[in-house]
Amino acid sequence: MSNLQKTLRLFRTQHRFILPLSSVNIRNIQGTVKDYNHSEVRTDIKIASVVTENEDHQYEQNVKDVILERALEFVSQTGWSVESLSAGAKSAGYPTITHGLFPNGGGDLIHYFNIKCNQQLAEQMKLWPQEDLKGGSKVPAKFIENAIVTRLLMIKPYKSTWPKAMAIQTLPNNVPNGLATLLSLVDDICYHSGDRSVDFNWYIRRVGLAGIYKAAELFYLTDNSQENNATRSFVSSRIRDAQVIQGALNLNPVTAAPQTLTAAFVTAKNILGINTLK
Amino acid sequence: MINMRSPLIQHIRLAHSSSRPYWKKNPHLDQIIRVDHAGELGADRIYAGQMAVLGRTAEGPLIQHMWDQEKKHREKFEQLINEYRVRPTVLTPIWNVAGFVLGAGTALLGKEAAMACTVAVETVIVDHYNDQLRTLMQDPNVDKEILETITRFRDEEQEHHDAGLQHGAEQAPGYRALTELIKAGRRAAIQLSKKI
Repeated sequence: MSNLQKTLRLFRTQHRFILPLSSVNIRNIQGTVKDYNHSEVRTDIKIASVVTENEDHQYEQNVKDVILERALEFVSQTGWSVESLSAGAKSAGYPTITHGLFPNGGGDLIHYFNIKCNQQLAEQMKLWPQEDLKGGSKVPAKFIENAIVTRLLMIKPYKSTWPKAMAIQTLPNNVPNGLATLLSLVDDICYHSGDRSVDFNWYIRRVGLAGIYKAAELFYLTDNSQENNATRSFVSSRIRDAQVIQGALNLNPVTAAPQTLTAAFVTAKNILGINTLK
Repeated sequence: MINMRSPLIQHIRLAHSSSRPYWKKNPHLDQIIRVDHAGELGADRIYAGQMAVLGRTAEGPLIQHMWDQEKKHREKFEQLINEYRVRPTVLTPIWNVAGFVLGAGTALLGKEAAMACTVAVETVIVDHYNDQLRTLMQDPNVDKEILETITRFRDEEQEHHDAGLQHGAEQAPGYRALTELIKAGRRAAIQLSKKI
């Protein structure tokens, strides 16, 4: 064994000495590598400064999150307002004037609440089983319905103050935040329900779903039925409507021609006042 | 760099619930994937247009070969779009039609014009991929998979470019004007697809 190792070592050392030219080459390469290292050190310093900036930012964000989280407890009494933020700051151990951290006042509080709910929903949806879509329908209707209703029920503790919140969200300075959270909500629902479209359908689905969600939100505010069954059936019928529209859009124009002609003919007869279906 | 982005996009990023690590990795990655997907979609449609006209001529097999490669590129970027949850460009329906019209239109001018179109398109795409590779390599912890994908695709596009030149692209009527026109259009398309 030791013999074999010796011969191997011999081969290696000999090999190194046999090729002096290649060692010159290697030295050249090392030179450039050194330069590269130098420049890399400089970028390292850059990254370090960015990190401290990020840390500062992170610290500020953490303080804000604590205050916002506490402020949510006061929403049922003082609404989505600066007063709630002050009370939250106080209970988190900061002076009440700290609400100045949130230039949009109640808008920022609503934004935080929306993000928190979206996160919770996304976590939940990851655990839900994927719907089997081979059985005819192409839309995972049950999954979407569950997602929308689950998200709506997160508003439940604040239901009495939510109309005000919806109004605050439509103020011009809160619109970007409101749209962004809505978009991220529908994007999450689409993604987790298995939408993998990469063309214009991507936009159609998300915009359609956003419309359904906002309509359901309005409906939910006045829903006093047991266990919110009315909201659930409202959502499911809106999803069915969307499916019908999608089906109509995907219909082959040639196969739909007779139907279209019949419809046009009936309309023409109605206009002329010779409707025979009376 | 980040400040140049429109405020709404920044808002959307801050509002995104599921934490998306790739944005921390490289802020340009979503733009890169979006524009590349749009580009490969366009290229796919250009070759589809050329095949519709020149499919039965002697150039058919060559165009079919390039088309097949472009289809693979497109599939790869569709997969990346889903993996990284990037928003596809709004202009997909437009590139769909424009690509086909460009391919079929130049093919109707003759096979040389079709090859000139290929050369022009692939020149811009190769440059564009090279730019992207430079941007990506500045990042010390770059995503290896994307780097390799783009490098491989760049090499294949370069092959298409060379094949086009070999098959008489320069004999096309008004070669210079035609290629410059297509190049300008292609560059504009890239800039648009990056943003929207």
